Amino acid sequence: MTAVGRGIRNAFRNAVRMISVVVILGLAIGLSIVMLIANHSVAAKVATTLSSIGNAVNIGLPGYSTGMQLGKHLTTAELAPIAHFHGVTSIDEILSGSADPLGKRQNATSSASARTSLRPVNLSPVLYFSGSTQPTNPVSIGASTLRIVNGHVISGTSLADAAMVSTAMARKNGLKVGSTFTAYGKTLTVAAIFDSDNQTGNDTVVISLPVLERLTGDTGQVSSAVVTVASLSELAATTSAIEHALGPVASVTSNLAEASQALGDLDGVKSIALYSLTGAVGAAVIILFLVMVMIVRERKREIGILKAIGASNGRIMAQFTTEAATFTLLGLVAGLIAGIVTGSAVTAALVSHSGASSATGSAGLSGAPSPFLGHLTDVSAQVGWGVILEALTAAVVVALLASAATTWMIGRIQPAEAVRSE
Amino acid sequence: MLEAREVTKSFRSGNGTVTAVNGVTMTIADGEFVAIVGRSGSGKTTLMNLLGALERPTNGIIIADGQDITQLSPRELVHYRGRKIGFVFQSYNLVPNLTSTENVMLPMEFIGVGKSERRTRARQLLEQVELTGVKQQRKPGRMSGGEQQRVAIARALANKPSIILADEPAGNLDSQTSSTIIDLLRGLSHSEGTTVIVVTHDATIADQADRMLQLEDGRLLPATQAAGEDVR
Repeated sequence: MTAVGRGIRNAFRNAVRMISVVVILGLAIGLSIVMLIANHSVAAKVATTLSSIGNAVNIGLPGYSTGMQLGKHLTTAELAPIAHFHGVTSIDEILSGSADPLGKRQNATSSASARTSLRPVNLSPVLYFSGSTQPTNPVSIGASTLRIVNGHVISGTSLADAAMVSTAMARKNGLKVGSTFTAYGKTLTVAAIFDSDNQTGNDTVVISLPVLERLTGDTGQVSSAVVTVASLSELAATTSAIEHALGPVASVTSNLAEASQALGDLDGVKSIALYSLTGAVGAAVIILFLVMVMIVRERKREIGILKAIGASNGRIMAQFTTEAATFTLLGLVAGLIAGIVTGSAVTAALVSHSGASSATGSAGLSGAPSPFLGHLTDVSAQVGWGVILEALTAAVVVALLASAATTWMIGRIQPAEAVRSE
Repeated sequence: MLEAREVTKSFRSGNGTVTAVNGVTMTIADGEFVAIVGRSGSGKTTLMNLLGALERPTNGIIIADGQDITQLSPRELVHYRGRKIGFVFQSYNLVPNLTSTENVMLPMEFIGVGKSERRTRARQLLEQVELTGVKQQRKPGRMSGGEQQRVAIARALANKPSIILADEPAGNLDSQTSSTIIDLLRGLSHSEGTTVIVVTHDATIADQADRMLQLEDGRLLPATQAAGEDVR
């Protein structure tokens, strides 16, 4: 039998002690793993959310959401300088319009030209028209996704009377690519059919900005714009620069600003998990250290005898380190089981008790909850190989740290003392 | 040959210093069976520890087979204890969760003997001390004192040491078992040419030695001829 074999066997030498040590270590390691899972899961959620936010700055009219500024617009001339700002890669200028659908009783304010032959998908009182320089930008229809399923994307600068409609609207109105319908007194041709993840988006007809300007008579005006910035790191600075340039005529927000509160709360959960993880690993080190100190003191005589019969310090240290590693490994197995079983529930509890849940209800630019924040508190526990590998690394660190002091004690034991203590 | 020259060992005790071994000079020939006797606290165990390199003397030198062991490095001391010395203790000091065979195999593992070779030799040694069959697979807790001391002797012999140091080897045994153990050590000394140094306060055991050295207050008294034996 080798030193390693003796170390493993010694771990089982006292069954009651072994079970006690493994249970206590298992609890500490289990807590570490739960916190590791929470940390990983929240970090993954933050990363996903940040990537879904995109590098976009939204420009709108102040008070747009409350209806105070209806009828007023920004101008393309006001937005033109923004294209030259540092970090700006593109600007999507959007003009919003609406038309009364077929069969809808016209109200007093509706002009004869603001009508359409289309019927809404969801009993909406109006049909929305979005004139965009980037027609595939989902923000222009208030959605987070816009996917072309049939036909060809229209050009945002095209003067042709072409439009893109949602699958739902196409089905409702019996449209397909090449079909025509009327709006604002003109005949438009369906160039593409798209899918979006939003009900408002499904009731929105997308056309190019110049066409909608011509149809509505709002030439050179836009309702809103989406500025794309080169990187997420430049988003805050660029947002600030645009805000400064446009002054009070516009409301400038980035999704990052909207998300910062909620993400800050999630970061808080991450920090709590990290501190708890550190504390739990520290507790595991202290527990194992004290156990090993107790074992070494208890076996001081045996260590002395081993030295007297020719064992080197290194060999005895290897034996005790193996014993500590065996305890840690058993504790790790117990902790992994406990951690995996409870990780999801603890992560959910941590997230739900953070401020992230209330932040997800905050209104975006248009007054609706931001689409990328809607599921922010829906954090699923992630138990991947990364977590297991990190737990294993932590366990090795625990065993080594706890053994370090033990090996120092072993080195100081004089064999003569053990013999003299007879 | 084992030789001690003016060996002194002092310990700090409270505010003062206690000299457990005080200027001991002696020579023990190869294959000699020597008894070191003295009252409790006379320095017998300390002298044995010094000869076995379990601790270093405060002054003086100890020469074993021409090598001054007081000048050895910690690594060389491990080598010396592992290959040249075999210890037998009063309380046997076997590792409790190892079987008899595994206890005897232990010192051989420390000097790098292969597993099958050390198992074979361990069995042979246990048979030599008359422990056979299932007793070779028993753990110390299920063995009598005499059987445990036999295992301890077999363990001391494992690496074919030139010197066996036995501290009160029969101290916990009845007179009959004690006699058997001493006969065993004496027989080894004569048949294998192993130097055996027994520390005891039992006159009966001391009488069976080739030579008796008497310690008093850490000093060695003039050599005494053991009863019935020639002085070497």
